[in-house]
Amino acid sequence: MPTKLPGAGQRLFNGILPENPVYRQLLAMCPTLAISGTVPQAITMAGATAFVMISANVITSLLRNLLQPHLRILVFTVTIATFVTIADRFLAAFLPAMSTALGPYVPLIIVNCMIICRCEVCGAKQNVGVAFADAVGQSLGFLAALLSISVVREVLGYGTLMRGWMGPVVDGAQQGIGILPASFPRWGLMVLPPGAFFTLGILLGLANWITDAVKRRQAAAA
Amino acid sequence: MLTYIRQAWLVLLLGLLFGVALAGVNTWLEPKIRANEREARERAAKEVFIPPDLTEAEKDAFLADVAAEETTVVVDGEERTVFKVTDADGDLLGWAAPAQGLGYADMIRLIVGLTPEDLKITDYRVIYSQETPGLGSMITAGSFRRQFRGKEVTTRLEAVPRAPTADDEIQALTGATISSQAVCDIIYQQVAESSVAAELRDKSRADAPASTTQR
Repeated sequence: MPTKLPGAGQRLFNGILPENPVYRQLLAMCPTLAISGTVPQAITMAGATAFVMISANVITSLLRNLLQPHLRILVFTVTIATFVTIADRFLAAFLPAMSTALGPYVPLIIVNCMIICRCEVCGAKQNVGVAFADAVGQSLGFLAALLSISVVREVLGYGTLMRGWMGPVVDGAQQGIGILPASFPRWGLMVLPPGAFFTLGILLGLANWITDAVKRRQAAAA
Repeated sequence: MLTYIRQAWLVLLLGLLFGVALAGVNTWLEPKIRANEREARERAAKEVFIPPDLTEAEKDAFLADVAAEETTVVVDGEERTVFKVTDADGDLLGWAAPAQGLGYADMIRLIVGLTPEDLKITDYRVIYSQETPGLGSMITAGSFRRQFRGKEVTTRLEAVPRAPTADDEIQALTGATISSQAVCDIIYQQVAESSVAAELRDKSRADAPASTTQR
């Protein structure tokens, strides 16, 4: 008997917590580590990824009955690459400073395994409404993960939040809203790749601990 | 052949449709993207002549008054773009010369400001850089850039890991020696060594009599 696939509401919720792409599925590690140094970068990357994932999932769902099994990955890749290119051009046109800051990580969304995974798991199997909800849920989960990491890294690394989008202007760049006092020594390591790994590792451990605690409580209640 | 087309028709059709869509998006956005790049270069060309110790409001007023006109110099038969920066009265403030070279992580693209006759560096701005965040990326910081003010562009500068003791030295960024030296090398190789500086000096002298007459 084939397993009943989750509906739109379940897909939406799953993407945020139980099947969070970063903390549960451990997907999209590259942009998570590279583009979580400041909150504005994290939000922009999550937004670009959401646009690509929603568009690709919806298109894949519309074409699901026409897909040849041995050519489906090619169809996914062509679709994802098209929307990534559109997102890249939009950023260069309307957010040029952020486009420069994100650099090669926007084109690298093409090989973000989170997107092709959703096309395979949901888009190629379920209707447009469910595919849309799944993409939105996964995008929100990705945003939540990036925000959780970037808040920690930016506060400890720079002592600010929203650096680049808000705060006083110095040398033509907005310095962010000051969170830590000037006397607090900045943890330069948090801005660098090792800081990204440490932060992700600690938050991943925390997510696992919370999941286990919830399961134990549910088992005890049952 | 027919078998392959029967199997791959969807891929071919999507390739065609997505190609047309991308061409349309590119046609629509390319002028805006080029305008952004031009605006960024022109703004940087003006910013390298901002006098020190101005408030942000005074800097904005200064930028509104100056003009940066794109022009070219011919070096070894090749046209190189430079910016002629003039003040509100049309007097030459100096030249802003683009320069690029290899940094630690990727290419670094700069715009270097030069005074008209003696070609001393006024400042530089980083147009593009992928240097390590928090380390090499600090080549954009005012505290590092200020060291270059007043240096002769024809002098090869050396980034040293201590307080400078000679005119041809600047203090390197902590943990970013390669990025610091890269900026020095890019300015020297792309502006002085490449003869762009010599051409700009000749251009300044050619413009000077007209400027004097206008006074």
